[in-house]
Amino acid sequence: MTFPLRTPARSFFLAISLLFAVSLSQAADWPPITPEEQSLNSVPNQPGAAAIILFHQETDDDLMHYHSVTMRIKILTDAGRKYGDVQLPYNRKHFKISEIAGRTVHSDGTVIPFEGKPFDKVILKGHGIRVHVKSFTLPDVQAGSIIDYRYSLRYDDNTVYAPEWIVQSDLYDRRASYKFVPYNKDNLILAHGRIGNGVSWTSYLPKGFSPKQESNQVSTWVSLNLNDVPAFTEEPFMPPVDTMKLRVNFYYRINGKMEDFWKDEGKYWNKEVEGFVNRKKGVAEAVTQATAATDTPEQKLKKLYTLVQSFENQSYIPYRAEQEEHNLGLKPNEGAEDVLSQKSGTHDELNRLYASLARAAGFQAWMMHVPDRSDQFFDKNFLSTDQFDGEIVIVEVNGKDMFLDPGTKFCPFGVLNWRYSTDEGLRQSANGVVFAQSPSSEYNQGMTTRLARVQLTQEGRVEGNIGVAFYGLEGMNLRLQADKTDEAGKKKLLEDRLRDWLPGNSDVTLMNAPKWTDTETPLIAEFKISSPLATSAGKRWIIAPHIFQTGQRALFPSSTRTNPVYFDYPSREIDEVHITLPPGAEVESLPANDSLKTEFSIYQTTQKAEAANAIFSRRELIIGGVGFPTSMYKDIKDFYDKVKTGDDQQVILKAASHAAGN
Amino acid sequence: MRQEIKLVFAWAVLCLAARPAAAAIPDWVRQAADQTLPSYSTETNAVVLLDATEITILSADEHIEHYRRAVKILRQEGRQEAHVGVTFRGQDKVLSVHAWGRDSAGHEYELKDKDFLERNSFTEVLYSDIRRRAASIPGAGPGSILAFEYEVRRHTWVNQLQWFLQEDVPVRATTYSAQFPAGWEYRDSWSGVPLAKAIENGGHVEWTVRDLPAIEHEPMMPHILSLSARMDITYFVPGNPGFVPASWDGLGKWYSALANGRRTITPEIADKTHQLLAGKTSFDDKLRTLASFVQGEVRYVAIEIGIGGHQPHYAADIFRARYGDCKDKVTLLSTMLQEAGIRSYYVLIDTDRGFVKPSLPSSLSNHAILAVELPDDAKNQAYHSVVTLKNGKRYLLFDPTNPYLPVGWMAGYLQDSYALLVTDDGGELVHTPILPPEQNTLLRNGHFVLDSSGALSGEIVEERSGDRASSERGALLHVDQQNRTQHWERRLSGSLQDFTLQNVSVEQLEDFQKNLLLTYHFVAPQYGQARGPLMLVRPRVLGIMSFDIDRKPRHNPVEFDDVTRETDTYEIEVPADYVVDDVPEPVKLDLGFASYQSKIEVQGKKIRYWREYLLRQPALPPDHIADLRKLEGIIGGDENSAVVLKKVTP
Repeated sequence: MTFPLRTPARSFFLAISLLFAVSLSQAADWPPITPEEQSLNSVPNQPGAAAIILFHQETDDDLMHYHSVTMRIKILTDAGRKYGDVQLPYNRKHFKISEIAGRTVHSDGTVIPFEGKPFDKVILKGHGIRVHVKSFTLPDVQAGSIIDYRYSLRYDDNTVYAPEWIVQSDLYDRRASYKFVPYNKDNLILAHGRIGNGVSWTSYLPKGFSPKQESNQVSTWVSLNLNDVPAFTEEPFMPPVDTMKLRVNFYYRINGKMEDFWKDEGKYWNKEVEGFVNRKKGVAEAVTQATAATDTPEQKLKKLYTLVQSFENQSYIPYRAEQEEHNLGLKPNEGAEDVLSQKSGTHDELNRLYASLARAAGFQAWMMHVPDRSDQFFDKNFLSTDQFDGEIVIVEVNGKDMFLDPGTKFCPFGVLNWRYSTDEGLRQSANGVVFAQSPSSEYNQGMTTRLARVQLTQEGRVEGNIGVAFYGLEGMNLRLQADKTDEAGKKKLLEDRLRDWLPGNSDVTLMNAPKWTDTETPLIAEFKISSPLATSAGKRWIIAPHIFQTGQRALFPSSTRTNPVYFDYPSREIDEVHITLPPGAEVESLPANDSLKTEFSIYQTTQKAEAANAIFSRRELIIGGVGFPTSMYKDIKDFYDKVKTGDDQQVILKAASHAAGN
Repeated sequence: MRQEIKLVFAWAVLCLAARPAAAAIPDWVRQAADQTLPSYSTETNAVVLLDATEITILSADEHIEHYRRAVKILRQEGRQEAHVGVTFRGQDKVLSVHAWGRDSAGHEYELKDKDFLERNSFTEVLYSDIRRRAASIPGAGPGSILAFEYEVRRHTWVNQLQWFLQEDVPVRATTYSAQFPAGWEYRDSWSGVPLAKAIENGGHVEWTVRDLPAIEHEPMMPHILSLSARMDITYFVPGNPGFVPASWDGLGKWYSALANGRRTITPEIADKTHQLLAGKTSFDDKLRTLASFVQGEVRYVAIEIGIGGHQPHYAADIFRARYGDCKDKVTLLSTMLQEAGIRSYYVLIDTDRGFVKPSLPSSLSNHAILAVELPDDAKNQAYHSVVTLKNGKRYLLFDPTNPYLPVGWMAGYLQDSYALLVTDDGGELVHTPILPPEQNTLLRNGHFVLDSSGALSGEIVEERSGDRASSERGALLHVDQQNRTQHWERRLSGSLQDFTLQNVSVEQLEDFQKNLLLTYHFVAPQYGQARGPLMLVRPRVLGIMSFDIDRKPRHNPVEFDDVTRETDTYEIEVPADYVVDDVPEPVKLDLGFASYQSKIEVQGKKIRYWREYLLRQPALPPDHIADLRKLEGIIGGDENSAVVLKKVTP
């Protein structure tokens, strides 16, 4: 009897595994409520919390094919009453939710059992899929109440589900108890037809806590007991949420050792990649046509890069149904030759074609399997290839590895899509498949420059021209957004972008035709603008010379931080503003220049009189990293607060005459 | 030989079967696609070529709806038109559903019944029987033609049909037709001037309208369904009382019958009512006590099945479970008030202003509130949300679903709207009042000290009433202390940089009958900008009243959240070694719908800044947009203006 392995962390069931376990005692049995639980009215270290999980138990049994959950929550405020509404998504094709029981216990001890029937709502039905939600609400939930509920989830006898215990939720959890009884027979067939050999796990837990393997004469299980798990907090500019939650990932394994697992998986992946890349009919001829014998190595690689980027990238078009693919005469790509002949492929297929072309051109070229760090990071201790989201190319040039990604639309040569950068993965090499790190981009590869030449009018508005250039990843991101629309939409995209930077209610008109498809050059946009800028100070005017920062809020206003700070990629901004003053107006006072430098950033401003009637200002901001631990938050906040202070500095003008208001 | 032929034939059949069958695009789609279109602006995403609804009335509570739609996509953004679906409820039955597409290269596609999935989303409604059969039509892109057709047998609760004619894209032709059984009659009502005349032919009636403009999306605009041209049809058998007449009175009677028996007092409800009202004798005390109970103790949980979208649950069930939707909360409160000797009535209203229209008596609305009959001696000044019926009786409107607004107040989205007050013997359409701006206030008072380095320290006391208090309470009561602090820090960061929020105290947070008070203590080290002998100080320490309003021509009314009055009064003590050298001019602008004024006074070593913003109307016609821009410009300029201090030479 074979069992298909259920991939961890991908099932709808696992979406609810954060909900809790049920003991298999009789429905009327609930754990007694202690006087301490009854009198509890706040959460340690979380004043004002709406509710607290008093007890949470989950049992996952792959021998008996069920999961069960029990939950006890104390409602502390009126806002916490929403936890009396329970919604349980599940795949109805393979699962059954049953044995639902619940009750509300008031602070005076009154017990109100849940006597209703749960609703069963269709979320998605069709094409062999059935996803439902079982929902119910507990009666008369009040602040001060304790609510108990439990349920079981049963699945087919020929199925196993290694759970993912996400032990952190939006509520503080006083006591949590998990138990997993893994399937222990020798007929568990895993990927590539291999026989399963036990279960392993990777845990992301506080120090002092880890799952324990236990056994008796009957079975073996893994247990985890936790106390005082803090509530999970989401904050802006933090790493992907799912990577930050405390959790345990289980998986059925073939090999017990991490190195052996990746060695085996690396072999399978390598075989598959080579099978694709080496289907190369026509590849050599394409190289000959695209390149010249006199090209330098880099020129050759660039020309091949341009060739691959000219093909249709299926990863960036709306989903195409099978009917559409048939009408277009497209077949699935089995190898590089198919991508070449159809001039169409997904991100990974295009990258594999590039590797094939590079090899045909005489280079050593390999593939690298990487995660998408907008979603997850690679952890070699977590033995699952689900961690990988894409493939990039590594080409050896003059003894050095060059990381390339023509499979990302509009990604410039020599730059990686930030999602695949700065992370570990698996790569092919002369020594087989090994771990490797994809490089980070430089801050110049994520740069925006803005140049304004404007005139201040007697009414206090500035009018004139602005030019903006988006380099590298900035250009790539904008081109990707623009690719979803037409000329009118592209124009609006750029005009709105500039309007967001300028003072409110600015008139902005795009004046040029930016080169949207020329990946290797910066995206340049030229505008005509009219914008309110000068404000009154009695007989004087004040103007903010850093016109692109007016109205921007501080990036980190909060004095405290729970999570690390995380940016997409290193970046650089350079602004230059030339303001000509109206007749009769003169500069009375300029702000001092700023110069700030930290280990991760630079901020510099220069303000000076350019002429008797003109002001010049320059601003540069460089952020040189992407991830910063919580311990660095104070430094980061301090830096950005100083940036904001510098950006808000104003020039004082003496105005010979001016109209009131803008 | 025969065997070989057989085998070859079987192979050919298999091959043919392996390919998708050629799309059988019906003639009506081809005809719609082949028409010559006028030119549209470059920002038009798509155009509806044909939108046709055909209703066949089977009985008083059942009809068949047959729908056809053809759309041409003009821009990439129009791709969303490919997502089609039919919505239906528990007792409805989808008889057929079909879709076709033809891309710009002429490839044709077809989706049959089995290609449609049943979809729903997680919503705040715990359960409803509303479902949707949906699909995405292949081949969608600029130049493509998409078509959709379905037939549904629907069960209805009211003998009414609604036709919303306009969309966010232009409509080339839209048709509505209805087939009535012999002897039946109908009445059509329009939201404005009728756009088409009915063409009748033996029980079959049809209306067609062509070339309707799109309702463009603009910021701060009413709901698109409130703006769309609309026609309602009421159908009936003459003289048969089983049908709801096309009148507000008739709808009142219908609803009254629907809710009949739901407000039955039980011993448990009576006991609780008396327990709550122990020692309370005045009308006001009784009303506020019972209203607070239903607001606070009965959770909002929506469960809508069949008639449950209209009909409330029994008061006894709501009381026992302590949850219910808006009409349930109204039901329970009305029942308890009844026990207290206070009469009250259902009010059916919509949370989108302009959706309920006097010329369209309709059951279509999405909210229920309560009208409490005021005693003759109750003064209007004590309550702000009062309506007077034609019979001279006054009623206080109250929404028990809003957990934070006390009796006498009404949320901004319910003001200046039409609503059906269901009386004992029918119903009357009422117009909800616009509460005075003074009932919805945000008043800030601050005292600060500025030192020679430019550091500003002090406190602001913020007093909120009405919706301004209600929304802040909602934000604060749902989060813990850390999140509250972050909420305030975010707010302050809109006006201050590099500040330290030392402390925030909150008073009367859970006493919804009183104004909400917040006191912020903070320090902003670089508030004053030193410039040699000068220092720039922005007297408007906190509070952003300016807003973004784009400069394109406006087509739709502007809708504000609510009418309001907002003031800032800040006193800043300047450093001993500085004097005030320059002060901005006062500002005063009154445009009728709103006014703004500010002034700065220097009193010794203190700068005193005061400003007031009054918004008197919840909406503004599009032709007044220039006034709104003028107002915003004045506010923006004033908010950023600065006082100049000069250092005195010792």
